[in-house]
Amino acid sequence: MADILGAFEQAVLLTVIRLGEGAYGRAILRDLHTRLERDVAAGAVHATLERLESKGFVSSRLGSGTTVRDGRARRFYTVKAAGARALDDARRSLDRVWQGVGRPVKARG
Amino acid sequence: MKRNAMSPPPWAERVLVALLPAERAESDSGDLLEAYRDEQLPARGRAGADRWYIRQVALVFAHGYWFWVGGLIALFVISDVSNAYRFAPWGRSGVPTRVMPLAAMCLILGAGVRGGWRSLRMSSGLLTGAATSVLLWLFMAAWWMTTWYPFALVQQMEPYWIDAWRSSAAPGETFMHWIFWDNVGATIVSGMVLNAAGLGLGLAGGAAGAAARKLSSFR
Repeated sequence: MADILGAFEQAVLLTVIRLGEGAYGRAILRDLHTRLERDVAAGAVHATLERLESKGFVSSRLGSGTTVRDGRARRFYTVKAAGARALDDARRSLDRVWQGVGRPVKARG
Repeated sequence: MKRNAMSPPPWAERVLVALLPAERAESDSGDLLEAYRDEQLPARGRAGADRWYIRQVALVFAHGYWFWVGGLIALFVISDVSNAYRFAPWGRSGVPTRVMPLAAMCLILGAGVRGGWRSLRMSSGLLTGAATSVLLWLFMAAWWMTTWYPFALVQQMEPYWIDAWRSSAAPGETFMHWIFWDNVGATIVSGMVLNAAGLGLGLAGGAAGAAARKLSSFR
């Protein structure tokens, strides 16, 4: 069975896709912070990216550093075919679960 | 050495690098440094940015080592509860308490091995082993200070604890006073033993983890 992506893993993968060529740790962190409207720990993002890479969902390459980083290299991420498939599967599953439920969800009673 | 006004505390940077995987230490610490300088310093000032950075380092530890810290805390709670209720019917046949210290040592060693394996540094094992044991000790102190009274109410009914009180209490000392200070003493002594063990096991684990990773990369 394919790996089921968690909500945060999906958010990270979608951010990597959205940022395209500019998807490195700090940019991913900033984008997630803006879109999720909450503080996101850098450690959580880095750990998720590491896990996604070990699962073969993303690949990474080192780029050049900048002055503000004291010359430390930036690691750029790209979503691989397996990652795109996993995202599609997750979306399909969620769509099936949502079928027949209107939005916004109304509670009974 | 004077600290750069645009940089986080050097000790926090060193801890961060020790906690990160060797192959990602440069890029991940660079991300945090960039966020510190671009965003946190202008928004929060130096003290606030330093607090933010230290919190991020603590969260890196929490993400990487929650299993070991959580496991140690769970072991300790099981062990302490079974000790307090050791004469209850279910306590007598319950958890083998002698296994607990051994399991705790394995977990601290495991944290050290993980630290050494990830960072390829023996010192990371020392850091993670020491940090897990210090966190357990802090929990232990808080737990004992919180639970000593309800546990003492149970223990004062048991001949084992009554005998222990009679044989070691000062003249005229009440059971509750005795068991409270027994807890305080146990917190201090166990803290010293635990933290010494944390340093030793962390160092050994770190050396083993770093060596194992280097060996595996040769194959």
